[in-house]
Amino acid sequence: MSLRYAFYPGCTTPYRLPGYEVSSRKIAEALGIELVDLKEPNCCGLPIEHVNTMTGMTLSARDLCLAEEMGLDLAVICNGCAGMLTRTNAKLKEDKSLRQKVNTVLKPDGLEFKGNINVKHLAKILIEDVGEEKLGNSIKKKFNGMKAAVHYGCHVLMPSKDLDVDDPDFPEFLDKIVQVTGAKSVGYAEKRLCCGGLLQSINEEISLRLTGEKLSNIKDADVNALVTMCPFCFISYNRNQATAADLIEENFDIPVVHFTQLLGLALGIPADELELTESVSDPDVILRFLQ
Amino acid sequence: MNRPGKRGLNAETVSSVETGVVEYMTESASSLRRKKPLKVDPDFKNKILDSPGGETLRYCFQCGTCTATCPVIRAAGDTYMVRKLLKMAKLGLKEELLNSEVLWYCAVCHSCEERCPQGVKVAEVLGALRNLAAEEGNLPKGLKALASNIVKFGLSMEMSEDQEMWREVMGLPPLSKPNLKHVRRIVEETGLAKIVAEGEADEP
Repeated sequence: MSLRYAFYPGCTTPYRLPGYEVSSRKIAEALGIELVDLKEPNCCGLPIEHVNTMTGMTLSARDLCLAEEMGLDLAVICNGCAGMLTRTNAKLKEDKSLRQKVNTVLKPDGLEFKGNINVKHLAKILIEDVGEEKLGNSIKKKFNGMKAAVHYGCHVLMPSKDLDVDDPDFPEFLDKIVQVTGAKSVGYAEKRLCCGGLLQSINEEISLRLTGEKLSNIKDADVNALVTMCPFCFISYNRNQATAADLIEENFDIPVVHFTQLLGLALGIPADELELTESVSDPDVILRFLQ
Repeated sequence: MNRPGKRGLNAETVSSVETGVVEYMTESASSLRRKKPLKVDPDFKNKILDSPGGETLRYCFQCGTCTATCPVIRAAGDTYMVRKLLKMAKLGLKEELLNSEVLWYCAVCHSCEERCPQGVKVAEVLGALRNLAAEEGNLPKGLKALASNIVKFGLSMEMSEDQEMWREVMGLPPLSKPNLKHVRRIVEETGLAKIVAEGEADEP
């Protein structure tokens, strides 16, 4: 299988979490995955889908067209982009009249949605396209005795039919990536609970309560780290951890890392190249397990 | 003890359903401190059914699975109930819905859609309702700012020079910026530009 993809890093990642983008590109390189950047992509449409559904869908379709023109499946690292682009792709492939509406807007700029590519989150590419075996063979160092909680995030699981997930209650791909690194993926209560990220700009308190509830469940599981695969979820659990703790009157000290950083370290990429300090102020909380 | 009656519902259940409806009407009335009766727009549901994403509202039979599976209700308390919003939509309580802050509390996690026995795409139906609210200028502040950024920059935020510099330091390639000519056409022809312009005109 050719491991060549069109690539869209989204906006939250490059703008607020460049370390996630750096570590994603580094692990792709290490695993022989070629990521070809989309030219002049725009917002995936998710943030304003609910303000104007047609605008959201058309913006989303434009990004899909750019990947179609390259003749490549589209790889993303943001759950928001994965969800929005996948749902639009499915809808426009299915609904001819909707496709025509969208194409009427895109046509003057020389674009046309054809529906001949797929969208995939990098984490799924690792398990489904690279494969566990090759992934396992590429591991140079292992996390010994480390317990990790994984958080998938909603938009990469649901609607499961569009996102091609067998069972959104028991997904496996992120757990598998963590296990490959030698860390143990530990179960915890309500693993599927939403981070509340999309509510941050609408009602901060509700958003933080959701964040806090999840962190509280993870604290009970007594883990060494929480591993995420979405910039919104990461911001909820990492940057908003202290604020959420204050609100629900708890104390948390849970290191949160991007899955690409954990895997990158196991692939032998130096910690400073993975921008580990974007996640943890003291990288040693993770590095002490690496052997 | 409750025993099912001939139609599968006993008198007590039926009366509790009725009380529920009454409570729901009076509750929303009192919480809004209304002196006038609620206005019902019988055409409203058709408007939703015709909006992109609103089509599956027709299948909702009010089982409440959406509310049961909703994570937001735990954080927002009983101010937010998805089933109730869908019921209000079907009843035609347009003003109550479109002016309500609660309409924007859905975190769009899609859990309800995943579990709905009737295949209602709840987040999309709420999206259709939110579209209608946005058309009337009812938009949470945070989303106004996001929408305005997308119209201006084609992205949810603008990159500062510092950020561009950091990318270089980190060894990241320069970010390919959106084609603003294309974005402009999309936001103008699909309606977002109008919503943003009207929202900005309303600002003091």
